Amino acid sequence: MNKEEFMKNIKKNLTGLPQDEIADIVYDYDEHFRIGKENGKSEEEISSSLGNPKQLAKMFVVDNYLKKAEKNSNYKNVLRAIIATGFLGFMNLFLVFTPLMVIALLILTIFIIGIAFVGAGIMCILGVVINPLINIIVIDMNVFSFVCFQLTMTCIGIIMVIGILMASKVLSKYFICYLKWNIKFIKG
Amino acid sequence: MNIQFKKGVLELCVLAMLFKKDCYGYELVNEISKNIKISDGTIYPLLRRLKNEGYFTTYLEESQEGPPRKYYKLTELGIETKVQLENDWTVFVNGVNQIVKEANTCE
Repeated sequence: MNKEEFMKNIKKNLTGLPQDEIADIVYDYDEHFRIGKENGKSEEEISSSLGNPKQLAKMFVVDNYLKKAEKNSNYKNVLRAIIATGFLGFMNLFLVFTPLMVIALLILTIFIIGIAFVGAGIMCILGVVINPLINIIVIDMNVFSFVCFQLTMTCIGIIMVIGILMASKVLSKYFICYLKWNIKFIKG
Repeated sequence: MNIQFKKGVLELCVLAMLFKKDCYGYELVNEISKNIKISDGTIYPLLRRLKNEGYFTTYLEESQEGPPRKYYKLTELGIETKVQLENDWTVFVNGVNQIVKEANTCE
């Protein structure tokens, strides 16, 4: 393709990046074409040695998302970075999404167990409190120790939920390091 | 040539070249592609990434041929990293050469 087609293509695929970054990237390729022509190369030659503009744009987009995710590791940024890196190429897809699925499943499981403990604890305590009022049958055991047990369950549940939320923040920081390694070394 | 090798060492190549002298983008691409077959365009995302990591700064310099050119210059961190990567590379290459040599002599 000629220079105009190349630039148009890469600009189109860079949408989403801040305007000043796009301008900077375009400037670099523009300079490259210019100097190449000064050296006697044709636009077709230059564009063909540069490679596929869509693929090049993907690389810039991924770097941008990773940079954002590093600065502010909220779930939206991290998720965007993961998806962009995964879709760089086939190897990336496999190497990104497989560990991601495993980790996500683990987090989800612990989260659900935590919620279940909290829920069970609360329901049982409520049951003990409401029972005298509306006469529902409740387990026959020492009421005091029963309430303590349920309170403990609730507390453990709360700790698990909070713990896993904190852990996933830390985990996402490590995952971002893994993603950076991934784009550095795996063919895009 | 194995693509996996290439991706990993491009960073070292760029840093090594800039250690010798400040270069502009086209210059880097040209020199590197003389020795290793690469997709020229991929140098630029790499340059951008390394600049964000703080390995170099950029400046514009007037040129006789036309508009100013963007030059890349190594920072302290860039120099340290270049030395580090170079050491890693040397150790690695020597190790591999050793293995290959021994494999070829033990007949």
